[in-house]
Amino acid sequence: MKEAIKIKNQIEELEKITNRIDIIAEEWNLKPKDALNINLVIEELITNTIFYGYNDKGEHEIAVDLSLEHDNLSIRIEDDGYEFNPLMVDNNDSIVKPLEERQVGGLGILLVKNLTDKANYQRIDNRNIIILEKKLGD
Amino acid sequence: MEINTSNINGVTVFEISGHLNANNAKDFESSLMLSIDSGNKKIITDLNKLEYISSAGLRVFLLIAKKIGNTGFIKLCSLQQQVNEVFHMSGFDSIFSIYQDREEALKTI
Repeated sequence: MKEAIKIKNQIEELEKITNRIDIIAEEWNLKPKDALNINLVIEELITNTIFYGYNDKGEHEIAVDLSLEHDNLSIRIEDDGYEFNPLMVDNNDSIVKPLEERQVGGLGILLVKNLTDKANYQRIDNRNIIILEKKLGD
Repeated sequence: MEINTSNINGVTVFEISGHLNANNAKDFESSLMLSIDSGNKKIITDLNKLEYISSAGLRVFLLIAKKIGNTGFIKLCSLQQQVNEVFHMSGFDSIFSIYQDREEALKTI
């Protein structure tokens, strides 16, 4: 099963992602928990791109492709923003610090890594491509 | 996202419902900051109707906790499955006081 979602580089488009994932969840018979986690992973990555990925005011397209084969979910996110590998953000010590020293940067990526089994970044033809894999179930 | 505010024995209770994400976290932040600025520094956020939170929502909880500091408190209660997991994965469950339900949270005051 495959589904392609195209959004503009505007934060309001998160609504579109959520609505589409609701529909996909029903069609693919996903557990509510899995649907919310998919939503979260996509939100964390596209939010980064929307807020920090461009320095022009122009409209850009971000492509989110989902596929499910048996229990293997794959999410592919492609954008034409700056070259940036979010998976390299250092967040090793961000969850053990006391409240006063907490920084929020990197938390989103920490969640993405926690919720996926495999995450891969590529830069091809001036485009950022992130491919995430997750075995659903449990 | 919707925010419902009530006052119980000097404690401001915010009941948040729906999805708290990067698109509406600013609204949530403004509501709470406005309330804190007008002197309400004893806060319970009741999350029994909050289905979803992302790091943008976590960021607001952190900002509020830092803003209140030692001048009051922020306690959380009734975390649903996804919200609970996100708090756990981020380690936020160890820096916030989290209670089973509103009654439990109010008892500690």
